Amino acid sequence: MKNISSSSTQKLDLRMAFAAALAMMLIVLESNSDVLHSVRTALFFVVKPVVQVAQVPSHINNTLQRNFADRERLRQRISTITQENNELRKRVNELENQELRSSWLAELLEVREKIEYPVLPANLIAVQLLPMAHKVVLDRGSQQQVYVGQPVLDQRGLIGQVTEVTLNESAVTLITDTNHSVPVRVQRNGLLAIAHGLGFRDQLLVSGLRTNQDVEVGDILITSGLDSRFPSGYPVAEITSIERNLNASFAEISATPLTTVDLDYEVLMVWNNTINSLNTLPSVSLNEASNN
Amino acid sequence: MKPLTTSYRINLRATTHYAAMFALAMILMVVQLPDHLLLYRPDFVAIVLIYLCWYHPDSIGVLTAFIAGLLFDVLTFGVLGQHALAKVIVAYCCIRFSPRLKNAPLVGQTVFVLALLFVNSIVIMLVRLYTNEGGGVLVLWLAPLVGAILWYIFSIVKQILSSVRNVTAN
Repeated sequence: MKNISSSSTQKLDLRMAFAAALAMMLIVLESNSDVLHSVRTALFFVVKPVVQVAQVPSHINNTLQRNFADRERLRQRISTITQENNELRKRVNELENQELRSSWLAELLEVREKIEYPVLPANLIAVQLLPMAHKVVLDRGSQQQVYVGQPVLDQRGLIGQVTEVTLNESAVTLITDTNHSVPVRVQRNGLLAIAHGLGFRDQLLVSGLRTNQDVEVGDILITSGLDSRFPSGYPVAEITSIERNLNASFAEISATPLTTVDLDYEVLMVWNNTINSLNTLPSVSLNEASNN
Repeated sequence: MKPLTTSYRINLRATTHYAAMFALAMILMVVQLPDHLLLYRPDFVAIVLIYLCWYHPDSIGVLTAFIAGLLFDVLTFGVLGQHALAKVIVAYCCIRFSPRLKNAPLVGQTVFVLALLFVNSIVIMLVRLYTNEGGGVLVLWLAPLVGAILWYIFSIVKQILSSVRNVTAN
């Protein structure tokens, strides 16, 4: 009896050592290369039903909210949208004027025309917020030439970047993920800073601005493009609080992201990678690019 | 010595049962929650694993734990292997030490489960440190505590159910 139990624990020890070694090997491989990409793609087929089922409660919640939105709220929303539309139309007129003038100037200075990045709309099929990892899943994958590091935005601002690609899906790490930072610029005066995710959906930490530098609550942060990963000029966050401690050389600044993503939401994937975009542009955008 | 066929025979019904339990646990792990509740969500996959290792140690082993952890890593798009490693260690400790706690008081068992859940979070934390991913310490404390409380409630319900069953049987 004793023999059997000791042999079974020995077997258990062996298996445990084997499995633990395998897991550690996976971790080391993952952090140093992307050879496990195909493994992940294959295994994602197994867990895809789980992803889909897990979104059902939020789908139900969303439909309920959509269908039972009361009249007053809808009317309010329409009026704000109309107001916004009017303002935007005014801005567009001004900008068109500006563009005309700047194109004259560009001709004078022989500046190359501004590059327009090809974009592809994508749908959000899952939102996975773990305390440390903020990720969403989009319905575009390597079949649509999505690449790791690709910026994802919507009409209000930056959402995040693609960190994993499977055949037909891609996982986007949000800018609020604890592992994510974006180089930004204060829109008003061009001061450079970095916005770090904290693991909270409505908060970013802004570092790199000195206590004596000109920043105000309400300033908009835009991407600086210094990482050559995110295209420059896209809005990221709005500064919500600034603490200037006289003993510290840097100010403690927090900001709120301008976008919050939700299920069934349409986002834009941008091809900012010149090497990728040279030969693997999606066909629709390629036509647009050649027209320009 | 037993013939190989009996010891390696796969019980299809039990397997689907276990797979369904793990699937449910994974769904609970990725279902959308209000932001302030995220920190309190216990690791349901680890809890299911502990339950199965506790009550069915013959059919669930470290390799099942490895597969479940790996699938969970794929599901959450995390570093492959982090949950696999944590779950393997949890399963090993549970299979190795839970037989000694079969007759321990409920509180003792719950403390053991709490310790296992802590080990689970600590391993994940260490892997995140190794791969240079950030992470808060809060997760380390809150989620395992909630998990242990759930385990305690579950054990009490299980005890009541079994006593009711005994009474009706008699």
